[in-house]
Amino acid sequence: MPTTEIRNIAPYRAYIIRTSFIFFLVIFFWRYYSHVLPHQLKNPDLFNLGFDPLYIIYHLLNVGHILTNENYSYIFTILLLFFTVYPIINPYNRTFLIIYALLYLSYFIVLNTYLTFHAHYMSCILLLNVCFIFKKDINFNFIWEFMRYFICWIYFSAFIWKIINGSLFQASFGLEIIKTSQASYIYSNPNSFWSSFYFFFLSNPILTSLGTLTIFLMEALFVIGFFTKKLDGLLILSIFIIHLTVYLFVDTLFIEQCLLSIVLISTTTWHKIAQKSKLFLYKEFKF
Amino acid sequence: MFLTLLANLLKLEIIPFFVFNMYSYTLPTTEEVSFYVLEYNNKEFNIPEIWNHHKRMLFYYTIEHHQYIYRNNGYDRFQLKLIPHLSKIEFFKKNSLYPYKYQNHKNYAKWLISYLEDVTQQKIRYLKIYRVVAIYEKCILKVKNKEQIIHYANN
Repeated sequence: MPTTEIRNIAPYRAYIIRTSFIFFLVIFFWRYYSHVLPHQLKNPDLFNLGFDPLYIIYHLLNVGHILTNENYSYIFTILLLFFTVYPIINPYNRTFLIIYALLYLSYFIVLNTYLTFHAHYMSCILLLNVCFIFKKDINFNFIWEFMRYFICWIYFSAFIWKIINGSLFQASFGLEIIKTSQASYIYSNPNSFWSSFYFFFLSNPILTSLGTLTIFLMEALFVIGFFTKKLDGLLILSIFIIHLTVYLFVDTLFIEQCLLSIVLISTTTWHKIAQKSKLFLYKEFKF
Repeated sequence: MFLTLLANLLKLEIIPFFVFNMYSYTLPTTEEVSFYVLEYNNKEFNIPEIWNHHKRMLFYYTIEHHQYIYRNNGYDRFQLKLIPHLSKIEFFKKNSLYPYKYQNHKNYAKWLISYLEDVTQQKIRYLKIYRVVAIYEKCILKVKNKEQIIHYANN
């Protein structure tokens, strides 16, 4: 398929929304397990707003304190859960999708405010939701296509930033980042498998540098996405490899960002998914 | 796309723009590394499962922030950068609005205990936080200095 051709993805919109929201739901439960949902934050005192106007507005309106206090935080969490589940049942109700986007935006801002670290990767869920809100099929196809280029830009820009800011040219970058990110883990778990794993890479700087360079080049690979869609499968794989590697070595989890790979899935694959799920539903439930 | 490009050029990491420049800056080559260790009820707060990142992240991010606030009399680096630009607007200062909003670092330990009681499902009698400075030596991490920075008894 030529890269200029807009894919007709609209017939699979319901599958895309359902798949995305199942993923959002898994993330919700994982965040519950990890004690980072609004009612679990215990109304912290310290905050970090950065220079972001939206964070500052939320803070000035006292939204963070309201959404994490003892009374309202439970309601907020329940609403967040309800509006995550509903689109799985009925993916066509745009009002619910808009409400979910607003609730998630609030959660995203409140959590980052009190985490005192702005985890921008959380905004990827919002970016996908923007696509779901478009009603007409032609607009949905257009925005979905735009999103594909946007993702190629995000990863390719990450590579460009590494040239501009210099980490691409620092041979010991991988080594230094493991040293600082994993020191606390190694201190607390000196005899674990992972500590030995990190020491192996710390003792082999050439291997670590080559590995780091490979990850950087995987980001650079996304420039191909501007010229052809034939390698989208490889780009999907790259997204997962990049984030898994960053997670293992740097202890920063970009799980929400992995979902962006859904935009790179071809119409042929969605067609196969639709066929299989129809067959499954017919066999299991006689639909 | 154009606005995101512009946001990238201006390095504006604000919603809804996505500037993915993490890990792009060079890192100082250092022998020493520093980190924080939390102890409660004679135990160390240690989540050894590598995948369990979100369960440990609230402590690791907030303690760094707390230390900055503590050193700068209740203000973070963004507040300190904004205050000189807003010094002529009395309204913000008079009403203690952001960026003049004081962050009370003295309440941090109390909040952390209530949060950790939920995470650990235990009544926490006290907590201690240490700042550890260590160096890598072959296959060990050698502690050079361990300084207690917070001690809070939960009465």
